[in-house]
Amino acid sequence: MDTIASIATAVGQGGIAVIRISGPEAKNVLSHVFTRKNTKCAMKSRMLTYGWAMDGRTRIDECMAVYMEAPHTYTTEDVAEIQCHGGRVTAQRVLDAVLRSGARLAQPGEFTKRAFLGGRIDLAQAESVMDLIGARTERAAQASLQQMGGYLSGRIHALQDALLDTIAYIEAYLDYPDEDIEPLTAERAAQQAAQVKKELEEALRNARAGRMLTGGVRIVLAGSPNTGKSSLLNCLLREQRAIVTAMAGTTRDVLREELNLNGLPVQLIDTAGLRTADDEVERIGIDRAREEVDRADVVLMVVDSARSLDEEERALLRREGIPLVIALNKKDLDAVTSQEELHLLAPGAAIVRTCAVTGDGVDTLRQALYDTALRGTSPEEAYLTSERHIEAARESVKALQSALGALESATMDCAALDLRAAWEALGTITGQNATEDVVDRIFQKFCLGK
Amino acid sequence: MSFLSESYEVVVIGAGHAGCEAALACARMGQKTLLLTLNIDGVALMPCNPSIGGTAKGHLVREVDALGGEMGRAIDDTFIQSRMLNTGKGPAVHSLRAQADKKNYQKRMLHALQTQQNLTLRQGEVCRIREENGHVVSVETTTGAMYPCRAVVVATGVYLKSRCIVGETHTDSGPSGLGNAKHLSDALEALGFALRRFKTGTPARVDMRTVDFSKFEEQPGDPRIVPFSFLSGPLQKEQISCYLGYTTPETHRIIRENLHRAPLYSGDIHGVGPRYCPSIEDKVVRFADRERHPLFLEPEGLDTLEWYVQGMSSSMPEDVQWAIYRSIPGMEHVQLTRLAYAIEYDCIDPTVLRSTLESKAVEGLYFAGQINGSSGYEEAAAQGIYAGMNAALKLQGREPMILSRADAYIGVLVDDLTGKGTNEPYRMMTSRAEYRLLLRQDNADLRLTEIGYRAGLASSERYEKMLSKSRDLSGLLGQLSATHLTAEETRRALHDDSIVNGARASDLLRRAEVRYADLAAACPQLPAMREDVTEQAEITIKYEGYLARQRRQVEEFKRTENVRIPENINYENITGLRIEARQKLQKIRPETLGAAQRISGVSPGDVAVLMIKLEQIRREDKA
Repeated sequence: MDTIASIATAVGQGGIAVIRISGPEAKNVLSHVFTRKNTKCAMKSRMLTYGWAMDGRTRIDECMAVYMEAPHTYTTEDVAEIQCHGGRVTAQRVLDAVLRSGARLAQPGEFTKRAFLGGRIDLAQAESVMDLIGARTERAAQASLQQMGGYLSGRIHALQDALLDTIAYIEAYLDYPDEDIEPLTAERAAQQAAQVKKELEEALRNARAGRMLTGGVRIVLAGSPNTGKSSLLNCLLREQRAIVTAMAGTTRDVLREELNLNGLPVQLIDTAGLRTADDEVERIGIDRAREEVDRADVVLMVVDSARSLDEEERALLRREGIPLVIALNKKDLDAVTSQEELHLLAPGAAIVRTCAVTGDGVDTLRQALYDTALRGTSPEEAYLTSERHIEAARESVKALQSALGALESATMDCAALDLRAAWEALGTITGQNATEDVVDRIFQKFCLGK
Repeated sequence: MSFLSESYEVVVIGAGHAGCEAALACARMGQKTLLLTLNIDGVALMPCNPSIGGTAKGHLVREVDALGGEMGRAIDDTFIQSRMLNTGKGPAVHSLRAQADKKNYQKRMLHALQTQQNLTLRQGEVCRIREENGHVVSVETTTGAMYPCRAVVVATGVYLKSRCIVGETHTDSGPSGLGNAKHLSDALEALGFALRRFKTGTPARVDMRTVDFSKFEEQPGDPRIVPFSFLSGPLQKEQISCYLGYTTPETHRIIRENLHRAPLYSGDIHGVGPRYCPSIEDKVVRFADRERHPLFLEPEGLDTLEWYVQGMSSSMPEDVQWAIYRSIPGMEHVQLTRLAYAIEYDCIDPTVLRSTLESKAVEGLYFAGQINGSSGYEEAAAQGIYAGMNAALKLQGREPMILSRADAYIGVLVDDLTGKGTNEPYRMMTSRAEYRLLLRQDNADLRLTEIGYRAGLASSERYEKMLSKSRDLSGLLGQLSATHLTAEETRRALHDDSIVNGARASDLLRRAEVRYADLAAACPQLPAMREDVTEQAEITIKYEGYLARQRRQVEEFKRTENVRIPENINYENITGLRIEARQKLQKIRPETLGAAQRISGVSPGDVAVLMIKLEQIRREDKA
């Protein structure tokens, strides 16, 4: 048996949400996502413990957690439960972290199913359990098919269809080496796979944007020490929070603040300056800063215009794939680093000149952050809304990534395996199974003999 | 008037590719076996293409061989050209194909049958299969002989009430002008089997002296021949080439103008034909935008002038056939020696069979080959050996041999047929095998020989050979991970002078372009090793990640596959199952939860409901 997890409490706004984990890895998963306040005493079975739900090294929420050893639990397996603050977003984030730590999302009614299979529910109740599972699965399937007037299934079907073409193409090429099939170029298959991947990634971005509107954007402040990050953070927050001194490396840990950015809820995260530190404590802070940057929705990089760029800064500027806003700070001092220089290094970034001391440029910076957070996304077009669907799309993207690698090294049989996995991940949304579809498509598309 | 003849433990009906393997398996496993055929001259006949193997089919031949079958050895003895297809597309789809000398192949198989202990080969047409209390007890021939027996394997191929069609002309006959079986269909219906009509076809044969081969592209055999059988040593022989040509717009025009005379479109053919082996008229109609279709000229044998024209099967009238064939460049003056024809025949719905190919309704009655709705010599042989082995195991009171989709292509074939059924003649394809990275043709012996040996079919020579390959492989894998090449050795192995560091041998082998031979040549610690072992090592190391993933998928698959469903379960009154799922399950009656899961129309929710039901039944049984 594998380990399953889901949000056990009703969907919607409530005081408390419970994330339930069941299976042999339950304890292990819990230890990944939950850190006790009192790290000295060991976690005991059946003892409610106070601490934080963690996403890597980031705290998601303050919460209570309990671990219950098999067999005297609801499912008769090892069970862990995390009680976090209610509301969809926090619970989702905790669930996300749980799913990344080795559990998979539970099927409808799966906890009850396990409870029955484990002998926890007596025979007389079997019928009602079956009814329940039958009804819930049906409802889940209906819900996803009807979601947005069939828009979701329509979009996913279209992507599956495109993938099926590619799969059929490769399979026909593999199964019919004698045929006059236009020699399959790995490039062509890769192009098609990349197109689907791109669309899924866009869908995931939109899904994320959709969630940002309700759940908040993670903006991470980064930059070399003593560029005025903390002062700027204070400007944005309009209150004194971070410790500000002229000594480089003052912010040693990660500070986080809530902020409303033109109606968009934002979590603003201040990090230790990025530099190679000798001090052990500061080095830990810097490591954390790098992790935060990796997971940011937007990175706000603060550059001291009065100094020339150092290597760390150049490296961060050159990094691709993170939405970047640059605050060219200390505009009150003589400029050494110019806007043009920054633009050359990071052509996609928005650059705003600011002065943290006077507050000049801070409003423009707010607007730039807002625009960058939502850039390239259309939250109103987010059609992946349920966690199950988002998880499926992520799986699919992962498989497509692997397929692209296999196509590069021209191992078609492996590529086909990946593409099929990508197709099947989407199939969990639309409820289809591949093999027959592949065979049908092959014969529909290709004229094959022998 | 019937008379009581000698009794046998197993009677196999039909001596085609399925019947031969079934009979040999039973006899080799010690059962007294009778093999009845309509015509001994038709033993192991190849009435269609003159080749064995190809994609997925080559895998099946390897698996039949690994279990202790005959097909691989027979083709190794009689091939006239050999090619490994799909090299360079990944190891899972490498596929061996050999052109056969048809006559020699038949002679070779006949010899195997005639010299096999416990096996009697006899000509005769079966008109009746008798059962008592749901168990098969005897078969009877049209000439009155009644053979008491404990098991029967029906392997009648395309001969049941078969009808050959050339244009408006229909002939009640088997393939190649052989007689058909007129009575067995009724006998099967009397036992309660519903029959249906399938259709297949074959192209014309031509006199090679009337073909201008210079208009075709030559396709020679491989310089290095890989044998089919794991028992065969290195093979060397002179090979015959095949030739590739194309149809022309003129060919397509002739076909289109005569479509009204094509039985396929005039409604004269009622049988369901295969999509993967369409007639040329079918190709022209369905793929109207194609300007040409490829065709291959293949020799029917060494000492014959007849050649086979692959890709040009047809059921057009004779005059149209002449025009079609003569429209092909290089065939302007071709003489047709035998016309192309379509053939219709009776077959059963294989979902009435268990996963051993035994009938669910009549115990001891097995079915194998085209009667089950499959097509192809290799698919037939695979079912033949499988049904034969299971019949013998049952008679010996032993556990059946069930090969699952994760064990073998044979498992995929049997599971597809018995679990899902088929609406057209079923052809094996690598894309049907979910775990094909594990089910390679190069490791069929490592996967199956142990099973064949334990069943009493694979010889101890074969078993020893497999064990030694397996030992050499694990030894070599150990050595590869323990051996470090120096910088100098690495430079030589990779033919790259810029390398400054040494590396572990297994890490180097991971690279796509590096072969074991490169490493062994550069590093004296690595031993010279037989190629089948180094190939295994290379695949194991290079595809480690993908292989591990497939093994995980197999684990997942086995979880539901090992859950058996009681035979008497009534799906109609299981609450929570959707109506569609109830009907499908009631009809197919899958043997395992895994098989239930693969039925289209059965949702994950239905499977969950079924799991609960099974647990409920288990607890009730215990109470």
